[in-house]
Amino acid sequence: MDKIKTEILVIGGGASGLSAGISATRNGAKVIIVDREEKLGGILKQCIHNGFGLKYYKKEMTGPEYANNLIVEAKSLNIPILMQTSVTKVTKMQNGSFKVKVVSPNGLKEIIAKAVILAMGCRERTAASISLGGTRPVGVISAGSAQKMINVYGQMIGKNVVIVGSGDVGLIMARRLYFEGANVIGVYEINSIPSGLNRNIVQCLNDYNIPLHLSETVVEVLGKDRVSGVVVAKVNPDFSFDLKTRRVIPCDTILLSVGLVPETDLVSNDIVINKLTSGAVVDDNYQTSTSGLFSCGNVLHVHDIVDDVTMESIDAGKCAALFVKNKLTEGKKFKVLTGNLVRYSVPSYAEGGQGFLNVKFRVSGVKKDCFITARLADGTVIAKRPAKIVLPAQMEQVVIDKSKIVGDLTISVEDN
Amino acid sequence: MKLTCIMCPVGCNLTVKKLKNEIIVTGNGCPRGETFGKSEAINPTRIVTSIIPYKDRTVSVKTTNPIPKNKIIECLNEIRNVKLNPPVRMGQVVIKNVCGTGESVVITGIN
Ligand SMILES: Cc1cc2nc3c(=O)[nH]c(=O)nc-3n(C[C@H](O)[C@H](O)[C@H](O)COP(=O)(O)OP(=O)(O)OC[C@H]3O[C@@H](n4cnc5c(N)ncnc54)[C@H](O)[C@@H]3O)c2cc1C
Repeated sequence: MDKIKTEILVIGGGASGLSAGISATRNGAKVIIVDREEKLGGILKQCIHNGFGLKYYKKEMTGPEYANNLIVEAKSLNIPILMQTSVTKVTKMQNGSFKVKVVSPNGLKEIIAKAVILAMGCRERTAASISLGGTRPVGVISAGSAQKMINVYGQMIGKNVVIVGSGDVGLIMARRLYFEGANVIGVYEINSIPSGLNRNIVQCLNDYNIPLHLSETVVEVLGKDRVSGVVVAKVNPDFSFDLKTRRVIPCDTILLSVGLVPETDLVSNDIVINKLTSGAVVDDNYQTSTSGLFSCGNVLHVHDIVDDVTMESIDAGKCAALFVKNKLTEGKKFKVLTGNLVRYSVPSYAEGGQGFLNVKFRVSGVKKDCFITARLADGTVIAKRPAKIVLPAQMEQVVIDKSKIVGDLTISVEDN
Repeated sequence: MKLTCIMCPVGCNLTVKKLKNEIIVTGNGCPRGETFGKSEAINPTRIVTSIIPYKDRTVSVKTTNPIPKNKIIECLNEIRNVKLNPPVRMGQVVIKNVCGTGESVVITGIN
């Protein structure tokens, strides 16, 4: 079996892995990036729509263009990249280094690295994960798989389509399917508010008169070999189905857009996982509970905007580079806790010192004209900013002056 | 006219009033919202993205700038009629002056 040695191994060559690899290289570390697919770029390859890059590149581009920018930069730095190489096991050895097993077109390989950056992205929730009722005929497909089929392979997936869930991927795909000549019958969302961004409701559904049905969902899939229809019903506030409102809608395809989950399986038995994000628990250096193992991008927590993935991964790559040079200073870590209306926050631990800490979080409900605060246990406010609106569909951030972190802190959404 | 701004994820609720000589936008949180509101009232435009079959896969394409909304379907039909011969490259113009809009359709990615 081949053995390869490096300082940092990056698992995943999407926006996150490329950004982290570039940053670690620029900070003086020897890096290898591996990805199981044929081409770099991760999910960006199939996101052919525009709306990427406004924050980081200050320019609006499509997903493939954003990926290409990062690929060109990684290549210009001569970062070794192994494609069609899938990581199957990561083990921390007694000497502190990692032994990483990979499967590649020319057999099994072992990579020894001082640090590993997890950048494996996320995967979609499936029919099983939402306990979708009824039969399992051909024609039930996740929105992201449909996106790949159509955009990358040029294969249409059906003619009369019902979309379950109003996640951004589903909304983007509603427009895409319409463009490809399909009849998009409607989007059914179990909650009373859409889970995707407002702008996607407008430019993907409203622009093309595709109906959005809130508090209504698919309760049963019909069909033997191919999907022949769905049964939909209104949903009561306690999430039970109002079966009086049942009606049958004929269709041949069902698209599921019911959420994304970080793909942490590779390491979920070895590190502490945040139950709310399903990603790793990390500190302000993006280091997991295993020293030398870092995590960033969608495998850490699901991001809506790729620019945020890049900026986070640049930080993580820099910390990993400092780690392999034994220069990553680690002081006393305090807890970062979630307060009013905050569902989760990342990182979970932070220390005081110089510079700024960027805490990312999501809220559990909509609130207008409010303030985002970070407070110490005694109530002292150490960061505060106004927000016009906070939405569960949108990741929020708050920047904290690290010199003020002298104890555990709590992130909250407050009235004033 | 009431609409939701799509310039950024905040999605402000805009009210756009057409007067004789001017258009007044209210409810916007920033100047980009005003621009968007005005353009929606006079001539709503969108960037169009799609794919073209290439080899056994696809290339992705976009209009270089937003085109009028009522030309989107026509634009998609023009894109559908394009046949590509190898080699192709990123940024390559595949349609000039699509639907008479003055905008080009260019390659954004090769799968
Ligand atoms: C449909 C959709 C639409 C979006 N629209 C927008 C938008 O309009 N604007 C915007 O800014 N952002 C958008 N985003 C968000 C943004 O694109 C993503 O958050 C970002 O690209 C994620 O990057 P990543 O590197 O974390 O994950 P990914 O791109 O998923 O990359 C992970 C990589 O890891 C590899 N991998 C996984 N496991 C292994 C393993 N065991 N061994 C080897 N390799 C492995 C995978 O092959 C993959 O290439 C969208 C996302 C989606 C899904």
